[in-house]
Amino acid sequence: MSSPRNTRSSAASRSSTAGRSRTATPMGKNSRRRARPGLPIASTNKRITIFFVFVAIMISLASGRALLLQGIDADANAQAAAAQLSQSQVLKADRGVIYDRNGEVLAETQPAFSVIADPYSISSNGYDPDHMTSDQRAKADKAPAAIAEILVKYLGGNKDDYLTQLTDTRTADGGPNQYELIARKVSAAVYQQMAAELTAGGWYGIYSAPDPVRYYPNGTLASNVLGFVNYDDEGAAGLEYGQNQYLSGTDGKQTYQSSRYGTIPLGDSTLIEPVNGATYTLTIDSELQWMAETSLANAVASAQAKSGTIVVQAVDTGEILAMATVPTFDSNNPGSADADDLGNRVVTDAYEPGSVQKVLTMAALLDAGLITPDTKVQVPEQILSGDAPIRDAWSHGTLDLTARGVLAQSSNIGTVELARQMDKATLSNYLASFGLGTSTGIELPGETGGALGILPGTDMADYTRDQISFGQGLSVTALQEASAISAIVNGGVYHQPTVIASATTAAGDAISFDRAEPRRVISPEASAAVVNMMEASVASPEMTTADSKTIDGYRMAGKSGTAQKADQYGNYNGGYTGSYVAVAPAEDPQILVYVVIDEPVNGYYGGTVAFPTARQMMMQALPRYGIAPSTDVPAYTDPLTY
Amino acid sequence: MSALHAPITPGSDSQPTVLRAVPRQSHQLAQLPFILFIAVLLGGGLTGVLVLSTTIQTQSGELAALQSQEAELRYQEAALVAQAQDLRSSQNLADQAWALGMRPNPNPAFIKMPSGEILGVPTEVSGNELPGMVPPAPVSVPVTTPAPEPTSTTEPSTEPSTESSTEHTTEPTTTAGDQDGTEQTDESTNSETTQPAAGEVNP
Repeated sequence: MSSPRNTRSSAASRSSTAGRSRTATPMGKNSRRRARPGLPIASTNKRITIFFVFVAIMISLASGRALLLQGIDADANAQAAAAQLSQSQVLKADRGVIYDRNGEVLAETQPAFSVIADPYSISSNGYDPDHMTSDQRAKADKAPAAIAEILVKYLGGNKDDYLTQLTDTRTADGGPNQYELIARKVSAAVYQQMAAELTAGGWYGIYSAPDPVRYYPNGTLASNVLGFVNYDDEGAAGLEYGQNQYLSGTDGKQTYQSSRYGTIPLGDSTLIEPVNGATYTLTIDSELQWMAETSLANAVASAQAKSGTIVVQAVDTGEILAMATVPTFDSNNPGSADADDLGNRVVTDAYEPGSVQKVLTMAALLDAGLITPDTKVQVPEQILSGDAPIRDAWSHGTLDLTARGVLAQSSNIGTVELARQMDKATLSNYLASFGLGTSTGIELPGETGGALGILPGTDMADYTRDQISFGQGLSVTALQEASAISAIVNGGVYHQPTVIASATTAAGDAISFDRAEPRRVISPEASAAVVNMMEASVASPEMTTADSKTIDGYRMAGKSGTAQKADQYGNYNGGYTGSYVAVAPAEDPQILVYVVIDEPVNGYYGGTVAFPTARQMMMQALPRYGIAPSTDVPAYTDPLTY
Repeated sequence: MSALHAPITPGSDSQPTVLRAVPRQSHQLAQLPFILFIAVLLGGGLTGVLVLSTTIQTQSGELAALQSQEAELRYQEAALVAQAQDLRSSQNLADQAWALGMRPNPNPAFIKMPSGEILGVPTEVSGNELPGMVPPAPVSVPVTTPAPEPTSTTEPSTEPSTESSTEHTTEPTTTAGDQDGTEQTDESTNSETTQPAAGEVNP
């Protein structure tokens, strides 16, 4: 092995010395031969050594650098390299769709964009500022004004405001400003047209980011139930807020490698699919809801009232078919409404229910076996409670009424006399079992604190018992009162009120809701007796009030309520709450309508301000749900007096 | 290595002319097709890679174009669906129906099948049975609410958008024509609504 190498290297050294000798020629013939052995690198071995040392150093350096890159800083370098190539974008999950009970869309998510400007690029219209032709410079000078005009055309607003943003080319720290938020929630279709016009004009520097918008095709319809979302697409009120964790879904992410020529075809890419929010089907019937909102709005307007609420409930399931409040708001634009109108009064506003509460008192007394509808009550002119007398809404001498007559004619005195037969703790327990003073458990937010109403406890004062028997001295929400009466007329079985029929995740799994089991609160016999007593106020020929008006073909039962509101000092001079509850058909109650008109000015009796709405809603709801007219509507003959 | 070099030195000593000429020719003959083969293979390979990468690049361009077209169409679809939902919303349908002179009938009649028994008394409505159902807002308002949507859909695609925009232009004209007729009934219902309401208050 060694011999040929030596031969070769010696040959190489020979030729190189010959080369050297040629270059050294001008130095003179004598010095040539002597100088050669004197040079330190003239020796072949030394040259080889130096060469190998040099190569070794280079290889060491290269290896060291390689080790540094591959071994020590490997992760950081790989990340830096990948970061230069790879792009990532958030794939927005669609917020879940909300349907009504018939499959009509109540809330959905529409594609939309944030419009973002890059003022730094706009200042050169996307060209390299250092290498621009005069034409390009001239065009770039016109860019901000031209872009601002296009923005005004599609987004509205003021050209000067846009110009201020578009010409703000430097950030606070002096760097190039490449991000100015121009507008949010711009409809995708509108953005597309705008982008097309910008491209056609050759204008550069406006881009977009996904910014989906929540859309409520029905606007104000059921907005109190649905609520609304904030600018970041998070539920801020109503169902949108209460069910936000399921509705919002989970955003996905896409990463891919791209160069200046676009996506690198076979480059690394990952895709985490977004998981859309859950789909909800409500128990709300959007058409009935529209009817409820329309008739309630008319009732509030004609009574010149402060506000109004209405609940339409299926008594045998507790499902809310319609639930409205006036004034209300447009879920698409909650900002334009009064902040006080953005909630759901049905669930959050507690008030003294007035005479409608007598239904609950009678139900308790009947179930306890203390009275029957025909129990005789001698009703005096007034009755002393504590140190103050209780009177009826109308002046009368001594009346001989049946318990039925007490309820139908809404005698406070008669009700107090009957209620005094029951001990206070039992009465309080009955009312608690009807759901007063506690959350109904409906899937809507706001049932806390004062919105739970006030139910006096078992140790209440005697005068408090007297008051709550006819609906004062306690407070309820419209939903609590409606659900309680639904239970009383539904054979005595309480169903937790609900607005959600079903909910399914994007993967198709049903979401279960924690719902209380139906519970018996009074006996079926007591339930039938209450309905019989309530029917008297509508159908008895002895009644001559405004609300003694039946529906053709159906048997309706009902009860009006008129409560004086307490002012801030606790005195009963803060206006009135007029209300009416209607149930039908009386032979087998299916639907309950409860209307509450708050602080009416034009009339204030529940029978005047709330009854027409309740009756008209019942007239439309009964045939709507296929409840056939009664084949025979007998004349009401049960006695109100004795 | 040494064995390889060994034959060359003695070869140059003995008969150089004959032995050199033959292998050189045979070597050249064998090398030419091989080099050609390699050149063709290399050239073919390079061309193949070039074609493939160009095709992929082109296709990725097409893919990007199609994706953006898909997004564009998806946005248009979303806008049109929203428009349809606007038009079929309970509120809009009720208002349009009211404008066409339709009134709710609270006197239902059911036919029991198969007996054919009729429950309830079919009754023609006069229009004032349900005074509380008069739409509170002017009827024309909901018809104009979807107006922002057609502008968003007219430009991007011609066919569906022109259809929808013509629908839009025709619908209001028909309802506007009917409104004149129905406004009178509106007034009559309004005047009649106050009467029963007042009647209810008095007793």
